[in-house]
Amino acid sequence: MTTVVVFNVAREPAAAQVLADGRLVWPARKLPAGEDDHAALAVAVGLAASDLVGITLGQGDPGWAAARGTSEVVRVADVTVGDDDGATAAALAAAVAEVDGAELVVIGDSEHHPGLAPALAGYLGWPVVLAATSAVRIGSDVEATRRAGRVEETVSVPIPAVIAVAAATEESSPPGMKAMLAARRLPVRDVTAADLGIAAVPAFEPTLTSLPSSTTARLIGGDPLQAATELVKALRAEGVLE
Amino acid sequence: MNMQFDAEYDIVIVGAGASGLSAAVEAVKNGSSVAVLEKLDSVGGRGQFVEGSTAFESDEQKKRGIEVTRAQGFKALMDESQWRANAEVVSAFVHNAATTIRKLSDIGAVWEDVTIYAYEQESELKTMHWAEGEGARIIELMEKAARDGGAEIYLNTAASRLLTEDGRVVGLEARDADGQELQLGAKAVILAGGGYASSPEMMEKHSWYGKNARYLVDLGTPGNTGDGLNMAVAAGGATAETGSVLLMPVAKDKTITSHVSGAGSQPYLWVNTSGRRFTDEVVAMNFSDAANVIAQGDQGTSFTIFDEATKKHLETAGSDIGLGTFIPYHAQLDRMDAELEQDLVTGTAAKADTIEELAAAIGAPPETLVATVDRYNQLVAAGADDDFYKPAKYLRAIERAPFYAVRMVAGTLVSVGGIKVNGNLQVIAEGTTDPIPGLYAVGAEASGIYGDTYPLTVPGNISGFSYTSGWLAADHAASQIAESVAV
Ligand SMILES: Cc1cc2nc3c(=O)[nH]c(=O)nc-3n(C[C@H](O)[C@H](O)[C@H](O)COP(=O)(O)OP(=O)(O)OC[C@H]3O[C@@H](n4cnc5c(N)ncnc54)[C@H](O)[C@@H]3O)c2cc1C
Repeated sequence: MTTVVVFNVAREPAAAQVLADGRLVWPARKLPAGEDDHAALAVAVGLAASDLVGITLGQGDPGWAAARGTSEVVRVADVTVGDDDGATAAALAAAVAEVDGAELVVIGDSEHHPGLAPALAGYLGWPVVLAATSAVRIGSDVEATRRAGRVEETVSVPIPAVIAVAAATEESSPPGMKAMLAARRLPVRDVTAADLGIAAVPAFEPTLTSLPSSTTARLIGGDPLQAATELVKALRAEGVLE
Repeated sequence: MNMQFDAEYDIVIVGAGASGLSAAVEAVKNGSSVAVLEKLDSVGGRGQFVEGSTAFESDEQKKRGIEVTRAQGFKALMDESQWRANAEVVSAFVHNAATTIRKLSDIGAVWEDVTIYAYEQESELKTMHWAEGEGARIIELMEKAARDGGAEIYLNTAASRLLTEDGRVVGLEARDADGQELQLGAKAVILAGGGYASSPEMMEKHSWYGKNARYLVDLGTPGNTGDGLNMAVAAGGATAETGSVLLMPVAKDKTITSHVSGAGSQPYLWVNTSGRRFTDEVVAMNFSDAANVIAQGDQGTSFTIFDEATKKHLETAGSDIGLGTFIPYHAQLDRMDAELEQDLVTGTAAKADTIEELAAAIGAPPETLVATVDRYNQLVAAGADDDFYKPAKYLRAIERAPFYAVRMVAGTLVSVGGIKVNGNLQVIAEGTTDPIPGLYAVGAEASGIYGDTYPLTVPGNISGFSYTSGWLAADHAASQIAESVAV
């Protein structure tokens, strides 16, 4: 009867640094929380019938989740997040198996890791609800609301299940420093890839990131007649018009 | 030690702006454990608005064949301050500013150019380093580097009091986002709160504009309320040259990118609230000096008067002055009509078919303004300004109706004087020459490189100093911490 929340396992582009030569540098020590993590945590707190256990990988911050409601965190200390969602999911599934009575996994539905939640559900052999915005327990089911385009759907899924939550807004009131410091005292269980019998991720990394070759756009505004003349002039200069 | 702390760090930094983040990046690189407290809900402070930054003998200058020596920089800053600046602090800045540029490159900054700030200002040194994305990008890069290095950054968390024991600072009290009080232990505290420009009371008390400070308009973020200065003084710290503030002219209720504000900032005819001309408007070329002039006037206000021909000139030939990327040199101020629709209603600007009506609209005696304009037109016709000696090229006749007046005030960018520090950025104890162990002040919180006003002849100096003083303080704190461990 344990609910698990997975956090800090998404590499959001905002955390990356693109160097002048096109190299991409990801944070080495700590990943900032994923954009959807706070919403996943809020949903998980609501779903947890009893214990709420957090699961994260090596760059995760257990205090971040503890300050938001987890009672314990399992961290796969030597595994880092890479670009291979399948490998990340395998590590997370192995960690879920370490949690006694785990029956519901809530995870942020990061648009930058669209394969992560489905792969995790696949490893666990459970159904998955993607793009959930809220969820409640009803008997042995979870009733989740999700957005599909402009349509809002309510789906009912039997437990055990994976619920992937997409945040609609930024976190409105993150916990204060005092709560965050106190949360650090809550228990963290560190396990290793070897303990779980899995390979360390990432299995592969992008070797070069190049920006699109032409990104320059010029906006011509102001008086419409003048703007149109200027546009024609610019198109002629570029050789688009004769 | 019998204090109970919620957490202990090597270094606690107060303020996550230009100087505080620079300190944080360096501190984590040194292996120090670091907490950065930021009272607002986002990092960056006024550092987000920075356009460019000073350095001397940097790689970027050398690459471009620009030679501005450290000696020149030192002399310029000392001379500009009438030698009220602290030579030790100036020397530390001048000596290390080039390293700052390199450190910022190391974390991803790309430098697009090194220039002077305004145009046609022969007296300016080519020290202004422009980064791609300007100061906002530097903030972003520093935040990333600090966090990645392990710095903990707490938003909505304001430091309120320094904790001392046996004459040394051992931590501080703060209030967090939930309104909870907490006590943090620190081997060193770096005050990086960015001065007092957001506090009208402190502006009136400390800036040299005195009562006129109430007419200044704050153009920055609201967190710079002088907490560092107050905390340092309460802990026995000394102050020095507290009155210097970096100002910029701006049209009342407008932003500095507004075209009406740009028109009001030109070196045309400026009159005071009585309708009299009062200065050589060529001061407009140096925005800091120009705003000093306006801030001193009655109600801290002046009016820039021009006619339809000059308005057309601004719309087509463009601005006669350069205000960085806010109003670039020769930028066509073609949004004036659109802005005026509202500005004529709010009183930011006035438009009239006669000078008498224009005077009535701005509340000046009509006969005075008419006399002022007549006299000005005589000077224009003669091609020589015998009253205030403005260069002839800025003498533009006021003849063709309609006539315009833009209400100008002085906007505050940041206060640049406060806590007395030595060359290591350690806070000096009041009445002594000794530092208070464990206490540093950096960036706009610290005094040292200014006299009573901000020198634009070394453009970009406050951000250059903020980044540089930040990492210098972090280095010194680390060395002190290492020494105390060794003892
Ligand atoms: C529009 C504009 C343009 C500018 N352009 C330039 C330029 O081109 N070149 C230049 O050199 N300078 C420029 N400046 C000046 C710029 O503000 C300074 O160079 C720089 O921000 C100073 O850095 P700082 O760290 O001292 O202050 P800030 O960058 O303002 O950082 C101070 C931070 O401390 C926080 N703080 C204050 N008190 C507390 C507390 N008690 N607890 C926790 N946090 C606290 C504040 O909220 C703030 O975030 C400009 C300023 C403005 C407003």
